[in-house]
Amino acid sequence: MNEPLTADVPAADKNAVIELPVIELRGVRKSFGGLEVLKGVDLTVTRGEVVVIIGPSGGGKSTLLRCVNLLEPITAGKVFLEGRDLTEPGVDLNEVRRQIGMVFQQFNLFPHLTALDNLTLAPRRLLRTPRTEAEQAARELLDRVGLADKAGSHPGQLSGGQQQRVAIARALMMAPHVMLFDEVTSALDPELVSEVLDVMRDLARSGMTMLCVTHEMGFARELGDRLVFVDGGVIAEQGRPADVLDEPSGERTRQFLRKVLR
Amino acid sequence: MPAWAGPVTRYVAEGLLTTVTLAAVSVVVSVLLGTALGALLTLPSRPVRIVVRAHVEIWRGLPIIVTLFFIFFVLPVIGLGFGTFVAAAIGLCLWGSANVAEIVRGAVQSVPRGQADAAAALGFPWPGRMRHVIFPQAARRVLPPLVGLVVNLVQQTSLAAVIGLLDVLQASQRSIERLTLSSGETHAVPILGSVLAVFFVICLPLTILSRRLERRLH
Ligand SMILES: Nc1ncnc2c1ncn2[C@@H]1O[C@H](COP(=O)(O)OP(=O)(O)OP(=O)(O)O)[C@@H](O)[C@H]1O
Ligand SMILES: [Mg+2]
Repeated sequence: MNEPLTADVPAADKNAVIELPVIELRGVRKSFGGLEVLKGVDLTVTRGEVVVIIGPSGGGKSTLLRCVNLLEPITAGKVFLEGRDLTEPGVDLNEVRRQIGMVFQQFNLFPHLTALDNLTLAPRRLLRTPRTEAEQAARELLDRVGLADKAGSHPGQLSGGQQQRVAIARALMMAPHVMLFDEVTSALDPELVSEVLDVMRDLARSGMTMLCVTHEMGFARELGDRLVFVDGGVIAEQGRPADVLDEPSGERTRQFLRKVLR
Repeated sequence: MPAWAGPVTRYVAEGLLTTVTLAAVSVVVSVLLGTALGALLTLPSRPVRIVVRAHVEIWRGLPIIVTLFFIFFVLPVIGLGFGTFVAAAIGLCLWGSANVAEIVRGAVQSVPRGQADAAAALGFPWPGRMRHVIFPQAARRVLPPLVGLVVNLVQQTSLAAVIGLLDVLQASQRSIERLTLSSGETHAVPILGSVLAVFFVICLPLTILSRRLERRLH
């Protein structure tokens, strides 16, 4: 797991399929001024895997996610996307970020654009997709998240759950290789949580690689391939969700779960 | 109509034309230059920001009248002499553009950070984030304070009288003095009353527009 991964397939293994991890973090550290928020994080996410991140507030979960697409420049360590070192000088991060979808707690839809235009903006401007083609793809995705009738609505006219589903669809427009979710249901009224989780369940079942920060333990247990407990800037514990949730090995994990699960 | 009304009106009207021209030049240059400066203030480059910030703070911080005196009386000492109109226009544009810059910067920075994050996460480089996501949202927030500033700028043009520009105020004042000398009567009330009315007529619609825009935003 800690061996360096390269794209070259050794001659002897010519026929072996070496599947590079979609995301690999190696010794990632991140400081804000004097405050070290990530203190050396190693994490590998393979294709189709759903990794759920839990942990106490302020433990660095959001920061960790934002380091994956380098929305936060990291202080030390390396980030790989499908074997490519993103921390190398000369890497075009804007090009890289197209392949990493991200959904935020606060939705962050563009309020001056309709739902449809929120979806088509990036493909039209960045990929030069013709309008009709982009709009057709957008309508299909809106339909997939159950919002076919909201294409012409502005974010202000949509409920939180609807906005978040538009946000997921917007990220999917770029056909990302991996999706990052940062507490995407935390800002929602309880009765709206399930409509967003339904979309995420669909996505997970369709084989999308996902890295999700969430407090939804039910979701973690049902769909997570792996549960990662982040505390104090490090991965304090990880394993199969059922194992971690039912028999946490660390004292901090136990304490945290006792509080969350009550 | 008294006999003096005709010539005085013509004289003051010429002054009014100068005032309107000065106001128009100052508003146009201030908005264009100020928007550019304001955009520079939001650049990621720190040295650029520091230089522009210093420029903005100086011309925003000085009373306009001090700036006008400086341009008109001090610069000629180093060989940079300007006529009254150009000197007044330069002073007002420096003050106006510095204030517009501050309004533009404030509007850009009032767009929540999550908007730039979302655009960046989609793969937009910095100029694209600004152009497609931040500026369209900032533009709406810019309008009400910008119209307010335009009103202010129109009002401040009357300061040009102190360096001797024959604007509407100066023309009225000279008319009053001449009439007082020749006829012994002061006609300050009707003449200055008209000046007051003129400023009112120019500025009131703008003030109302600013209110409207502000209400529509909330
Ligand atoms: N831009 C920033 N500047 C300074 N400090 C920051 C910044 N972003 C995060 N921090 C700090 O980093 C620490 C970790 O923050 P982070 O948001 O990653 O935690 P989190 O685990 O996501 O918490 P929560 O569950 O509340 O979302 C906190 O102490 C926070 O104050
Ligand atoms: Mg967080």
